[in-house]
Amino acid sequence: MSFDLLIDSLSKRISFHVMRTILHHHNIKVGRNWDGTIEKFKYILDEGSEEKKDKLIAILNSVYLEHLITGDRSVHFFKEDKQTIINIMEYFNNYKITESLFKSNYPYLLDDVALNDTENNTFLVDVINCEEKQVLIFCSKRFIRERFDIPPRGDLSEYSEIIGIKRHNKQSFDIIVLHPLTETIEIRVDVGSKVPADDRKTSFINIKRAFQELVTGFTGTQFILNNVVNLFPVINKLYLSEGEGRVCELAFTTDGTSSNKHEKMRQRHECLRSEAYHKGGFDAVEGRITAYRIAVTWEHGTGTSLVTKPELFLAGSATMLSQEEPILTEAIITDCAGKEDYNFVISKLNSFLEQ
Amino acid sequence: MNQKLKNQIISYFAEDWGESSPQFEACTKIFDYLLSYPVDQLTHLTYSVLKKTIGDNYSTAELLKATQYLCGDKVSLLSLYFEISDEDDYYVDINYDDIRYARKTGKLIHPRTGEIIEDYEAKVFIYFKPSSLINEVQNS
Repeated sequence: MSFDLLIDSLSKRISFHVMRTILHHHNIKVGRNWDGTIEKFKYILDEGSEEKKDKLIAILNSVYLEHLITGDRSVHFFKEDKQTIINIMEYFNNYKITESLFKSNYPYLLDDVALNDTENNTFLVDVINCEEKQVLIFCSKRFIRERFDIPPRGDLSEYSEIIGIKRHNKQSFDIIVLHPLTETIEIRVDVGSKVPADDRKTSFINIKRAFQELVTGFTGTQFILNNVVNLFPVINKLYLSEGEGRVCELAFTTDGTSSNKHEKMRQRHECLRSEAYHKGGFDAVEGRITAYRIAVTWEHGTGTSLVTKPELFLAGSATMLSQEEPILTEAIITDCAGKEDYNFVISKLNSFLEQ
Repeated sequence: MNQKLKNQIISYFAEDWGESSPQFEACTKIFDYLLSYPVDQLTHLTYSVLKKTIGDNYSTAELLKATQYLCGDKVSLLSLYFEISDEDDYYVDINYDDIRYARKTGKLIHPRTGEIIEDYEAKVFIYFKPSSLINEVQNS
């Protein structure tokens, strides 16, 4: 493995603010941005002792591998009976993974030229068994539209905010986790909230189809994931649960009248529940509001050397409230430093689903 | 409050559903909710609001039965409306004649733009308002 490949994969996949927190935790010096931080890594490689070099590479590798599974994700859950899940796990344990360019370069990213030349297909690249679960890792080339904040400069300096949409090929690492104990199959699509909803949906359909086709091939009978978990009821419960994380975005309707409100805190670590304007409105309608979209961040690991702020975003829409049974199947989980953060958010989600 | 009329309406619920039925309870809860606020604060009642009103112990099918009954001729407490949202997230009411026409022809015309709405059934939503009977119970 070349160090450059590791660094390239890390910097393309992990946002700098998450990486900075992780590096602080490991007492590794951080620059002002990714470029500055990479310079510091290179200094250690060029000038540091063997022990320091090995430690750096080991840490970065472990962070990268964990992040492949728990980085920014659009997540869907399906219920399936325990024995079916155990059988599927057994099939994958005995399956010889087909060779592909993605597999030969796994776990690192293909360079842009190789990525553009690969076919548009989804490839299984790894099967990992851990903690009584099985993790399937799939790679594909995804043509995505991604939103970027552009610093207002030159002729555009009069604008306070400029948002650019970039269309490009990106290598994705979609994950399927089989949990026999909770009788759940979890699909973690490798996209965050900056990818438009239509593109997220297409990516989800593609990975789900690839998984179903593989299982159908194993069993000889058509396998379809259809018992999807409805996350919509979590939205209002989470909002009303005072002290549970910080609500940084909320959209809701006032019960009985036809007004929709969409509120967002300027900073993710501030909570709308206690913001004066929101509180005033809430009290004025005697709390008669119904939330349909919510983003919550938690400060996780307080009191330890790794304090993170994972975020859960449930992006429902106002029209869902007009349906006889509102259904939202996607949760977007971002800003996780690793599996502890990710599992923490999932446990919060499950606790509200069980209420 | 016209207590006599209120009691009469509740007796219709009992007569039509039986006092121990989930529909009786659901109708009574919705009725109480409609009487608890001035009607100008109840101008847009979605299924979610009504579901919240009756609580989590009722199935969607029971809620639908209750709202269907409350929109009916015998005890008309709710009036049914149709709406569609546009690209700017504003909602526009659609009158029942247009819905009827759409059901017959498969074509729904957008009341503001005049354009045909593709896949209209997925885009049209229902909401309710208290009927004039609620005014009568509240104000007499």
